[in-house]
Amino acid sequence: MSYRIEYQWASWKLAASPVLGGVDRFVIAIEGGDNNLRDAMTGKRARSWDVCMLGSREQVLRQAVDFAGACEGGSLKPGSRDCTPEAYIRRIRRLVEGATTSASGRWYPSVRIAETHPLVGHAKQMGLPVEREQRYGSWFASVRINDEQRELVFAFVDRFPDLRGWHLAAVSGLPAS
Amino acid sequence: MVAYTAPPANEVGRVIIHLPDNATFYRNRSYLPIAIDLVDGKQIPSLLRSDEHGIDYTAGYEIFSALCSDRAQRTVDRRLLVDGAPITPERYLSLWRSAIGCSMPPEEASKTLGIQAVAVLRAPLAAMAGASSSWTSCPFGAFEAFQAKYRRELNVSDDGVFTLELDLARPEAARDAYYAASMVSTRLRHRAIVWRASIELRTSSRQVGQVSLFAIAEA
Repeated sequence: MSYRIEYQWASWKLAASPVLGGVDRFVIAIEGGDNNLRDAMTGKRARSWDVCMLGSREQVLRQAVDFAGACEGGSLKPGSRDCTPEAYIRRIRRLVEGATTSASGRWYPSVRIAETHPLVGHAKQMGLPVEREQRYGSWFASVRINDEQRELVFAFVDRFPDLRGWHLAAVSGLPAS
Repeated sequence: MVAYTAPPANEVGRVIIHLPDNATFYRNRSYLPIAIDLVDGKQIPSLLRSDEHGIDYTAGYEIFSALCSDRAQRTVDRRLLVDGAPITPERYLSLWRSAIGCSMPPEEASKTLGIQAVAVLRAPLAAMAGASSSWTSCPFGAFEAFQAKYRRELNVSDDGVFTLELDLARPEAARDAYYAASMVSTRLRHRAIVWRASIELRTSSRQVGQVSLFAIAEA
């Protein structure tokens, strides 16, 4: 059976401010990959850093609970070990409660969604540039946001709770395991 | 931020019914997980997963998948309370884990808690002629064998639609309902025909009204 392994976790906390809706916001990035997918050059299991959870404390915990549902059946294994959903949620809770800006690496807005998603129309109404982008044979809408506007992704996750972290943001500069 | 205006649900009990080992062909035990919510002063049981077009009993790990995709998430922002009080999702899931440890067969749930699990099958009888299950483990070669076994309880209306209600506390009922539902689904799921195969919960108010009965699941 194939399953996802999580190797490393990183978090950023953005202190509450009016532009963030008056509450603390968090970005949780996770280095992970499938157990049965290997890098063709190194033979190591393939892995990548992705923003997996993003939003207020409650939003991140809700997303963590959603992820945790895969633990009991063995489809999600932090550190390649069996884990209960309860333990997984506790792990993410610790990340949120002890969140500090990661010493290495940064997160940045990277909004890439289905062309039919209502965020596309919303972004156009806001005057944000929207471009078409083809990935793996499918077309996506890419909303261009510069780093100075990055708090906008939290407004997006408030308005469109169906969106996942990787739809809205990305990370760079984090060390690979 | 999303503002939730509906009042929070108040879960006051959890009941897990475990089904006989032969209920499906899966090796792992199958369950019917039931949440008891207090609504307008009444205890209302509901299945964590309900489907009108299939009798899919729940594996142990699927109970947690179902909880994590709905109820456990609602505990985070207090849209779901337990016994009227907020609870963390971790603690909430552990309550359900305890309930699994205290699971009971359908007949016990019926006798002690007044919760009866009933499989309801409804479809045009003529459309089921010669239907068979996709599963080789099905004890019925064709739908007619199932029909013959339950000929006394199978009600056929004037328009040729049969309805069968099977109390899962009866011997072999869980297994027979599972495979009969698979025959109905295989035959009708892609056709423009109204049909139903589902689990319904029936309650006797005499029993369910007593909160203390759910101490079994809370222990």
